[in-house]
Amino acid sequence: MIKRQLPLLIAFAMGVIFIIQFFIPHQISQDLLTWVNKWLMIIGGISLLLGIYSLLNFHYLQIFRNKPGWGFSLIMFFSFLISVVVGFTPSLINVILPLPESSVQSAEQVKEWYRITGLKDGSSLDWIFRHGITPLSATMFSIIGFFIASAAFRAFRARSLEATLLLLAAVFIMLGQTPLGGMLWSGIPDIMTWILSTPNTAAKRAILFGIAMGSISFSLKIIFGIERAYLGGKN
Amino acid sequence: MTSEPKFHIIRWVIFALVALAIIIPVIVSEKIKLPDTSSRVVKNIYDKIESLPAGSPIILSIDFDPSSDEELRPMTMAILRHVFRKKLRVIGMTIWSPQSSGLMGDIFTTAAKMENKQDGLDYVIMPFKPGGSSVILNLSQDIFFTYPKDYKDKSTKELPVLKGIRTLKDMKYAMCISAGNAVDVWIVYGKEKGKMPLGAGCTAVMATDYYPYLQSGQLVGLMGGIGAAAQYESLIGEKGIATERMKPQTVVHSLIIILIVVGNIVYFTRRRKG
Repeated sequence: MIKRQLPLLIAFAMGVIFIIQFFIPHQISQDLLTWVNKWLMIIGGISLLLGIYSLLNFHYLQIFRNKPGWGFSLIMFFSFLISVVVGFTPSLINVILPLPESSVQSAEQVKEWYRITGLKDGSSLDWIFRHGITPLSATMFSIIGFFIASAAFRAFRARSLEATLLLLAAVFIMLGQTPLGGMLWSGIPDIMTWILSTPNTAAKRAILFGIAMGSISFSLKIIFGIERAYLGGKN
Repeated sequence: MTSEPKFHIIRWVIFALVALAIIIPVIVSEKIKLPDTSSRVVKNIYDKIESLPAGSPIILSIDFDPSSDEELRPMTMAILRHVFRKKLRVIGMTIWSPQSSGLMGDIFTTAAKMENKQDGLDYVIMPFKPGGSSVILNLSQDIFFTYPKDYKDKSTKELPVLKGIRTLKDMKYAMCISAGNAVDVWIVYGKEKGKMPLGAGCTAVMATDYYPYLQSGQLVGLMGGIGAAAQYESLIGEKGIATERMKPQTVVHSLIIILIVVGNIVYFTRRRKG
């Protein structure tokens, strides 16, 4: 009983208190907000640990159950292990290849050490970040460009009036985003600006209002205990 | 069944064309001359920074990770160089991810070397703190409470760059450069609590999302993708990587438009044949 009632009571109390708090500029009210935000930041930190657990658990099950693509999960474990070991021992490479003290060693020897290890400045983790994570992430993101080109060829068809309007808007935006648009016709950047600031803004604003109203109603449902999905379980 | 292998070939032809449209302009970059362009939304950010007196404190929130680095780093560099030249005091922070801290350190150090600025004196880099909106709300109460130490583990209270600053309300300007929803968070919490002018930078595909905030005055300006970064480089008179990258981007945009036209010709020809 208390397992379900207590979270509902906390959600109700916190919801009501912080709706009222927003309208009270007194220092006590502001201190309360600071204190609670500090807790939120701590909970945010803990959620990172939960994220790590979830990631490891998922990939462990992929390997354990021999699911298709389990090899990628193994690579994930391997990469995770390397990052953790290097992260917790920032001078790991220094242990393997001791960094010469510049005061006692020659500048050439220091230079040679950097050449061997591939490190210029920063830690070993910094090296992984610069030479591993950054280019790999950029590659993944860049691939989208190729799929957009292929999708544009297949999907942008003037099948109806709506589709034609969408197609024309896309063409004007793409041309207007580059100097080529202005070179072809000086009116193209103006058309692009009009599309973005008039029909686009009107549509986006309607969507934003919809989202805001939905968020308010959902928050009220949580505060008053109508929405209980966040508690987990079947009921 | 018969169209499947045909489509597979067409797809690979398109991929090859895109690859060539990127590689060739990079190789013959010097031969391609593109005119300078300027849009009001980008110019507004430049004008706002220009209007700030030397020594004004500003926040630069770097809310992107390595996947968007190539698109957002050029605009971050251009803005940083501009604010350093204007002798503004910069607080670098992130609410996005721990990876953003690594990028921020690299970008700030590079820009500071170019403009001869010192860590702790002209700028400070804050470490990543989880919590997103909670971090911004805490900044609106007390910066030193939120960030007792900078990313180099120095006590923030002792840093000359933070002298006379206590909360977000002391900021003269804030700019969020984001690849996610961090701009929305800054508008809702940062702008609301700090009341300072707010500018935003984002990837090109996200720019359309923020036009309502420009019209309502919640954002002073907006920079979307490489195109905006190239415009900013032109405004500060320091043409760099963004200006260079506009060349392949222009060619790829043209290619996509040609592909759309060809796709429609094929579609209507097939429809006429029934």
